[in-house]
Amino acid sequence: MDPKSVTVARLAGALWVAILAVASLIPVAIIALTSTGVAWLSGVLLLAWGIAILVLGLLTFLWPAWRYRFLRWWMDDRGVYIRRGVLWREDIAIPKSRIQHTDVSQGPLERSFNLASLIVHTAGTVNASVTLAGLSHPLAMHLRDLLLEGGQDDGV
Amino acid sequence: MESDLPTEVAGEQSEPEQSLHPLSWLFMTGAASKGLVGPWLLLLFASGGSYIEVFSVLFAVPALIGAFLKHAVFRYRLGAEEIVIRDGVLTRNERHIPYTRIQNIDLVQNPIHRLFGVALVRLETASGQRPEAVIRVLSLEAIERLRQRVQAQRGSRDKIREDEARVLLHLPDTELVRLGLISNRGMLVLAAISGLLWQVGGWEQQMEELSPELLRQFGETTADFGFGLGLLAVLILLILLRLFSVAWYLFTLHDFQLRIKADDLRTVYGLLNRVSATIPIRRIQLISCHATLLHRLFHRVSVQLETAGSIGGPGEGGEFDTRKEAPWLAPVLPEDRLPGLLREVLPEVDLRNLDWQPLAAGARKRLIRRGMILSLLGGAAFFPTFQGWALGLLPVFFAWTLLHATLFVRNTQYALADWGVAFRSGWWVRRLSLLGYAKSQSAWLAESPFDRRHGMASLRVDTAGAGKLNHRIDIPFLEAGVARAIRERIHAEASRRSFRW
Repeated sequence: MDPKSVTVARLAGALWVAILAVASLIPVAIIALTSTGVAWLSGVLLLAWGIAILVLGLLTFLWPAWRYRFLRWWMDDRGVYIRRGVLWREDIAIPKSRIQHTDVSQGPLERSFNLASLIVHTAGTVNASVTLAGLSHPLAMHLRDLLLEGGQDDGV
Repeated sequence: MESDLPTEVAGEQSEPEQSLHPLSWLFMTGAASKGLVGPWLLLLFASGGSYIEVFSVLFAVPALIGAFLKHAVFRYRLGAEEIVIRDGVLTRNERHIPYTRIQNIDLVQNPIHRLFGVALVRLETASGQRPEAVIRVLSLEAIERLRQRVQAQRGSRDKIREDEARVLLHLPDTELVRLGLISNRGMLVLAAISGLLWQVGGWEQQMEELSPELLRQFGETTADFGFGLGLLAVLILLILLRLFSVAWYLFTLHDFQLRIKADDLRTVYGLLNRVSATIPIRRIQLISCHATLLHRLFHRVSVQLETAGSIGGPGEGGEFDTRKEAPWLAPVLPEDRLPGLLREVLPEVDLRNLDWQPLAAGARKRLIRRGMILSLLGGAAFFPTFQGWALGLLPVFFAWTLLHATLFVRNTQYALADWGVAFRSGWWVRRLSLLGYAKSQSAWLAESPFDRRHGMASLRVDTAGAGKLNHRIDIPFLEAGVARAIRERIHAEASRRSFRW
């Protein structure tokens, strides 16, 4: 995974937190300002809101780094392997012969950092598609090509 | 009708375009008007039907005309390598389905179909939840031609082996009675009947008039006889449910036959609606058996298949319904015949020679600990409101935890063989799933934080299919190292085999 992906994840997270903060501030502020009776209660409410946003912000800052630290992937001539997860871990092995098709997708943020996600589709049900996000775009394209070759004997 | 689309390079075997069986309009309009039968009957018999009913009948007319038009424009052609279906009145639609992609061909024949020697055909491919094409209706002779095409294209293209179909399993009515006694199908039948009564009408008003009277009477009688009568009512209901269940299976699965011909399985069943489903053996993804307590009482198991083609299963009799269940290999089967039957279908699978492995040594302890903690938490949560009760129930929960953990661990086992993985679990309903390496997709380990504390992991294997079976390869509480080794083995075996749908 490209280290830049941490930055991208943080940026995206920050954006969401900002939207959430603004959206939740409106009702919080209205309640705090209208309930003039008990002044300290509105203060507590605002404080709680501030702490919640702060914790959320901290998490969006830390989580991508943790996720980055626990993600490993590799490939050999038999297939693709992904090991990931901070608390709940998973360790997937996808045989190359089971790959139906692969996508390389880029969101707007990813595009500006020249990153991409590689999506591997199998005929399975639970893990019908496995996404490997935050690769550099050239690497994702290269991996896709690697996965495509040798898949020809798989006549359905 | 002249085709204005570019005709394909006509293969030597390509057939001219055909329309449906001349009587198709009957069945198409019939299907379209199915939902209207209730209102119609009401209109005919109920005195002075309300406006709504009149309108519903009026609205039916365009639907019927639409159905008739659909029949009139429907065309299909058996090409050299694909079937081409053209339909649609306003939006023209042309669909090409290569024979090699067809997973199963299902036929449904209700008594009227049989009278005219026609059947409804469902073509299924691996895509999605609905049949790729529903052809309503074709003559049996036309269907046979279609079947031969599909068979000829499949696998080795040498001549179709003209083996006589061999019957692997035939269920006499006695077996079906047994199945009815075992299963809970009666519940559904009861629901369907009450729904029907509702729809046919009259019932509604009668109920309204009757119910206060009924309730009053019921109240009086129960007051007189009290508990005993209530018990009797429940008993009667239970017996009734079983009877419905038996009747259901006698109707739907009557004369169930599982036949094998060359590389295809074919199941045929049903008294009024005769259903026949073809399942190519190599398209079986997963085999799953289950046995409830009642099954075990009768020494029976039920065996289902999962194919990548999603639908063709035991049906609710309807022709068009998206099936909720996976197809049967054997709705009911004596336990001791299971290994033999599997051998016939998949020669490499040897059920008697499996090296069953238990879960990790600490699994039972962990389950017990989890159960204890949960009971304690529950007890603590309910203590303020229930006090004595909460305390009194704790030993019960502890005992249950102990029982569950012991039986769970004893009944959850897995085995790796040369052909694939076997996994069984469950102590109330015992389930057994078999998956060949060639059909395994991705395999993965999952570790929860609790798993990690105990050095354990779960192993899961993904398969193609509709996921209608409620048992898959998902082995919990393995030692992490063991789980990794199994994953490696499955991955290596799967990589060596190429997957074919």
